[in-house]
Amino acid sequence: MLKIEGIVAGYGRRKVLRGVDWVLRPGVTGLLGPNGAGKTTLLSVLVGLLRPRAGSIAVGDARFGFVPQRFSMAGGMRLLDAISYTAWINGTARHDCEAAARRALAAVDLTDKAGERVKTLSGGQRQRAGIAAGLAHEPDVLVLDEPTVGLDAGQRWRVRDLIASIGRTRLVIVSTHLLEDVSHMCDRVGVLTGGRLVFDGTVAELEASDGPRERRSPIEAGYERLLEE
Amino acid sequence: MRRTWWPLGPASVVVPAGAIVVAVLAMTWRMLSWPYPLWVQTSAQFHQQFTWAGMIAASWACWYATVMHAKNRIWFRPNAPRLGAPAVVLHLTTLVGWFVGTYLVALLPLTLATLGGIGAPDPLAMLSGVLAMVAATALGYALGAVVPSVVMVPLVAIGCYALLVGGSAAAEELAAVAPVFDLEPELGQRESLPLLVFRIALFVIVTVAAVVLAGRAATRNQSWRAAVDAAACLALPAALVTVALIRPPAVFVADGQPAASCTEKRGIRYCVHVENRARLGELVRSIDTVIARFGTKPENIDQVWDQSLTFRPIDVERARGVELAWLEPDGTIESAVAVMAAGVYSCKGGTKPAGLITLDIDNYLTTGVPAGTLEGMSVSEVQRWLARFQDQLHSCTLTPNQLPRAETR
Repeated sequence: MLKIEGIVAGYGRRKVLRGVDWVLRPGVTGLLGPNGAGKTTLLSVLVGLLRPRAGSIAVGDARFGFVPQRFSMAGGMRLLDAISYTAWINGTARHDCEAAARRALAAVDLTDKAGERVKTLSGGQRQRAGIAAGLAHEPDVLVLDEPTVGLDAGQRWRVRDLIASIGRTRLVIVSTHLLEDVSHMCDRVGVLTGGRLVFDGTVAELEASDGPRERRSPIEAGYERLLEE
Repeated sequence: MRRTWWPLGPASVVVPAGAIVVAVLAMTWRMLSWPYPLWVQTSAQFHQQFTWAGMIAASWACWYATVMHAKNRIWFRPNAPRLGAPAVVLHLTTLVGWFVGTYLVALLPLTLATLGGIGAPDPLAMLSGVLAMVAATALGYALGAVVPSVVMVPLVAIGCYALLVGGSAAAEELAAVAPVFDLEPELGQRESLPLLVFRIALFVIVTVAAVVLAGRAATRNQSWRAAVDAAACLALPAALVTVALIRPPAVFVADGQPAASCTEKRGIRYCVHVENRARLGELVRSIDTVIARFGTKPENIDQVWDQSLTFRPIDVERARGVELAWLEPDGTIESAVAVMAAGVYSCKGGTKPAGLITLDIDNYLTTGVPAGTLEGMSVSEVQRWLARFQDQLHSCTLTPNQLPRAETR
């Protein structure tokens, strides 16, 4: 379990998060919110990229894996080398790195690409490679920032299935602005808007919110009502 | 396991390491066949060969850091357990191991060729060269970590080149800082202890500062913090460099008063540095050929000394009538005995008839063939003329009717 209490954070004078409280449980939790709501800022605070101005995060001994929205690997690196190195950076013992990288690549179904150079991967493969990098050191918590952005429909399905399967064994937090992502892979969902968490519940609870159903899916209707409020 | 040692693949270190070997071997190849290798020169090659090797090491290390420390890398997470110092140490261990290791391997043939050579190795001079390579690699890497952009790579290369140019242009002033000297030491000299101690300390401090700087830069995602770190880490090396520029230590010092090995022939005393005693006979043969062509002992030459004997002050009386000879390690012996015996310097360029003939005499003493104004004279005629007029020759006071053609007519 991951407990976030009263997180206030921002950049310079701009306050983006205005006191976020959230309790996260094992499984896949979606973090929804419009652009500029503070999703990436909250994830940055969670993984230590940004120091909060106030509040606390109780993580215990949990280890984090993080896949940012925009990331790169050196194009000339072989995929297995890149994942091994990321595992090492994240604390895996040197002699275990290659095996850990192979396990992570197997988990994202990229075993056959292990020897390929990163620059030869397609967009979907690259995204899965990023998830493998986040997984290689076997974190307790995997944090993914907009993992399906820029993928075509087929690639998006594959990544969603992958994230859902990872969520069966660990806590996964997925930031997204795509409601389909949430409905297909998340057990729970939090909605962030105006720097505050305005909803924390199951996907079914979000769907149960009222809204004009003739044009929208249940989840869209519930989500829009929350934002309007 | 190897994947973490060189995450960019073996070629990322083997290729520049190979370039270092090629550069060093190309620059030292001719020295391998020298019959009289000098340890003092071979020791100096450990820093002199920095010219290309240092530039390759620093530039490549910079590129390596720009690739590994770009802030959008998937492995960039400031609180990751090994992102800062451990990653920097891992990369630099690999880079320094290969670059400095192959640098030493490339210098091995020269070192082996010098075994049994003249003098003794200078371990501190060798160490200063090795540390200069380490410092260049670490500094190039740190600059790449601070500004992880490929733009830094040519800037680092230009910086290395500027250091070389500066070392040549201001040899005395920058010798404590620039790894490559403008001049190389010779037998009878050595690199001064204060200079070596200073350089070793400077290169160690630069290395430590670069490692600390790279470690901090690797975990920073704000460029202003990296700039502050850079200023803090490079303050001490910069202060040391400033001190060296204000009060530069002596570059070379003479060995203790060297013992000489001497002999005499045709009234001329020949002396060589005791370490060159095996070449005394060679020196005598080389100079005596000129003296034999002159016919008698030139009155302005009493002694011929190995130049290695002259790095310390010499009593004027002892040095009367001395000409120097350079006993080069490649087996050649250079001296100005023919020039001096011909009186070339007395007439400063030879614009008068008395001056012109000195050039012809110099040519005759060097080749043994009378030519120019001496054309048509036999060797014995030239020698008789020299015996009669050498005073005027050496004081540039020959009159037209004393010239050889007038004499033979």
